[in-house]
Amino acid sequence: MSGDVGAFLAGDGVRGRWRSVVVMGTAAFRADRWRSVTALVLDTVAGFSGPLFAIALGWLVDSVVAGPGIDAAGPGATAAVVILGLAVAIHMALGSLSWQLRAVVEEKTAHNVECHVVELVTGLVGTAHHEQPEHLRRVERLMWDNWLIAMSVPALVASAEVVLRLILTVIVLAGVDRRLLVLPLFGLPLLVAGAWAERIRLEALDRRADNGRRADYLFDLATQAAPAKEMRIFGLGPELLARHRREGEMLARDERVHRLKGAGLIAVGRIVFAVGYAAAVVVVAARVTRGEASVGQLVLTLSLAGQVMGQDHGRRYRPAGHRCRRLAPAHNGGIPRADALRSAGS
Amino acid sequence: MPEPTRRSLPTDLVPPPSLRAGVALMWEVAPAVTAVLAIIYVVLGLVPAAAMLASGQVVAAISAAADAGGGLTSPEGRRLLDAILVLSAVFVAGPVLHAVTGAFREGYRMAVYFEVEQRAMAAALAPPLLDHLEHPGSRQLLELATHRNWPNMAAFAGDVMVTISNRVTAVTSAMLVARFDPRVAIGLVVVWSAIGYRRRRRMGTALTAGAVRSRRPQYYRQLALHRGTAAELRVFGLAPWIMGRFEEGWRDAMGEVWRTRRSKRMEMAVVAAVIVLANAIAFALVARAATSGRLDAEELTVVGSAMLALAQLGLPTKQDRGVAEGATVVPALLELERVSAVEVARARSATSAATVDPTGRPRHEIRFEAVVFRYPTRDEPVLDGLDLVIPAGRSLAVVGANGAGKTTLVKLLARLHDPTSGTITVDGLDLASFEPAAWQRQVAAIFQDFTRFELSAADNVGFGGLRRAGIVEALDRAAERAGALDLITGLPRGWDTVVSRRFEAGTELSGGQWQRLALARALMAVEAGADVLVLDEPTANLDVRGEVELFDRFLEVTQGCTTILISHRFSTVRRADRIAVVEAGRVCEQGTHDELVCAGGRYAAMFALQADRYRSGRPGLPVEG
Repeated sequence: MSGDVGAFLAGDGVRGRWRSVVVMGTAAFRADRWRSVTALVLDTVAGFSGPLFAIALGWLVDSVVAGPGIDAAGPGATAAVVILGLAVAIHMALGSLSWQLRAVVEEKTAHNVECHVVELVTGLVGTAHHEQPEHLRRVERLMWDNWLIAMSVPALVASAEVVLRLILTVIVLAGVDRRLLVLPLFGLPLLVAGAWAERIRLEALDRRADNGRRADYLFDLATQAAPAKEMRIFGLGPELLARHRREGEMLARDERVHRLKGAGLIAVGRIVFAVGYAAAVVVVAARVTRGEASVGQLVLTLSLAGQVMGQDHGRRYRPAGHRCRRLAPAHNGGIPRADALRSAGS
Repeated sequence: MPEPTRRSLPTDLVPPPSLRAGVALMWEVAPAVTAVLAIIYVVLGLVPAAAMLASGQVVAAISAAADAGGGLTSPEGRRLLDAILVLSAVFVAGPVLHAVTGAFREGYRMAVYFEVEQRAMAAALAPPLLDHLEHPGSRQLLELATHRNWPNMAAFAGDVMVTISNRVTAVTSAMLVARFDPRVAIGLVVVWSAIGYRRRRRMGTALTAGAVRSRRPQYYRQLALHRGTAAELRVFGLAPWIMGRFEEGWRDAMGEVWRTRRSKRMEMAVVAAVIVLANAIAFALVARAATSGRLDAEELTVVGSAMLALAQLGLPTKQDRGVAEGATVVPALLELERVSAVEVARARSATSAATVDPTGRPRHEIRFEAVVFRYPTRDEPVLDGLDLVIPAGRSLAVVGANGAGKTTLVKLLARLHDPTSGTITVDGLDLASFEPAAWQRQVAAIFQDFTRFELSAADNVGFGGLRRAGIVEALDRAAERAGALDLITGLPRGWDTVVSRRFEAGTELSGGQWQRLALARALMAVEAGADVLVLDEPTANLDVRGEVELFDRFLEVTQGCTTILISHRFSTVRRADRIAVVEAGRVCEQGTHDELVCAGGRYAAMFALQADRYRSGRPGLPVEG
């Protein structure tokens, strides 16, 4: 949860982020209209399956607590079982179908981003931009991370699904006890931590862009046919390998360090949220012991907690920017405007 | 020289994906880290089951507390609070451990990625000859093994770990369901695994097909973005054409991927029916057990959650894709290493068992006798019975039209290729008497397409003689002899200046400045002990006057060395001690400038023609044979 929404918050201001959302949404829609819309609808519907499962499980538990025998359980138990099966089936079928659709949308969007950048670059007058590090950095980011940009489309859909699930969770919990409406407040530190961690990641990627580019260059020197003659004549192989290894070790070390910083922040956010949720469970448990709530409502609260905390392993396809590229950060929705590329290249 | 096996590499070397090979590589990179991460991810996979059991304990405790009355202050109430505390600890432990381990995983998977690159580089660099780099089959392997935009080895290493975790969760969830009814657990595992397996298999096939087909569109994309092609793209207005080819190639590649990956309608219907049926049976059995009193509230909470978790087995995850991608990378790398080892062995088999140290050679001459050479991908020989003597300590110019075989001659001289037939001897010793690498250190060559190292100025010169690259005086001396010292001192950070604008604080050089740096590199090689110097038309983009000046300077500073000048211009090499004219892969004339002019043959005619053009003010016109 924190990753998707955090990445969204970590950009160049909320206004810029919203602009990115619009740009990415438009890019996905243009890439493949019906698949984009269908995936969005399927994911939205699938978002209901988790809370639905929790509600049905609560009902079933209540019917079990009521006593053995289908007569004692009443039609509520039958309905609960049907809903449980339905929730899992929806989760499976829609998740699977949506994955196929999103994969195609991602691929087409990535390609459109590539085409967009190629058109912009080839449309620039003159060749001076090829000598501008800032221009090259932008183009490299976009070309090497076009997948991340494309994947940020379903990431936004996934984020929307997460937000929907949170809203549903809070509504359902509020039905148990109105005080649980404050639960989202405990999630705020997690969101802030996610945004902060993402910012740290982006800064680190910018900082080491030269190292990544140099590693790439050394790789090309070692593997391309044209420089191969000099590599052998001057005996440069071991030197190139050593330099490439040094760059790789530095990049891996830097990656570990900045990820650890981010992980620390996210861990703090998670602890705060867990404390909030534990308090919510205590509140509901106290009501159950006083006879003001049912055991089923406690089970409902626990099941939702599991889902919200990511403990249910309902880890459906979450295509947020997890693919490791050594250089370029995936500023979600970071498609540049033509004037930005031009100014960098001028 | 024993005739090498002129085995042609197959053009299609794409091996099938292998998950096992990928995991084995992860182990090789860092066995300890791999083991520790695997253990942690196994533990992480256990966390959901622990959370389910803890939830069950809370439900059990709440029933007791509700029955006992007295709220949370009663002993049953305190036990309930304890159960909630345990549950909260599990809620915190899992994600925190996941976040912290994830940080180490990122560094680890980057290390795995770089290891793949290192091994691909080593495989490309290992063969002393160049055949493998000029062959489309091995180039394809190189691209597959290290593809920047397709299979991603970095994702693989991390995704394998998460997949381990997911599988452990599935197994423990199945065990929790099995406590209720083993038949339900087995049935669900079989159904979800079969669906997941089929989908992953199809994904792997699609990725391999797409990776191979994506080479062409990637090439067009590179053409569009590369700075080397930027000028021509604009001058000839090629951008729309390239965009069209890029688009066409991409659609072809992705069409294959989509066709392979797409589920058949009937298959989708069957899968959907199986999902519904399996769930209906499983939940009906749970409902019957619950309503008949065989399953209490605690067990129902655990079993219900476990069934939901178990369903993940059948769902596609982003990790599936990462694993499928990585599984195509390592087999390609292994195949590349196999090809590389074969090429190394081939070069070794072509080298005499008892090798001679080439240091200080040639003392008398280098001799080409009836040398024939044919590139592996071409039928026509480039050199066809070439005879040539290169006297030691003297200068020789090799002139001829483009495509006459001049550069190939230099490649054979440096033993970057072995001749198809004929012999090359150094002081009467077959070139195969020397270790290829040892002989290559004796040769300092600057080619027409010499490398413009986008590194520091010091690297550009020091790479000529790595052993002395750290000695500033040696660098200064080489630069001074090449006329590049002023250029170096004029750079913002002197020798440490990066000569490429692609890097921060880097600077760009003109064509002439690059040539002086390249010349300094060759002279640095002489400092480091090279005895044969070759200038293979690095001056092609200079005018005649510029080329003459550079050649003259080169001959001046390399007096006493065995030097070879290559040019397609007959009018710029007259100061060389001897001149050989190459035509159609053979030497058709040789002698001094005066001798050749007097002979009135090919050289004399071409020299007169080019000199006339120079005098008439059209020196830039190309002269073809």
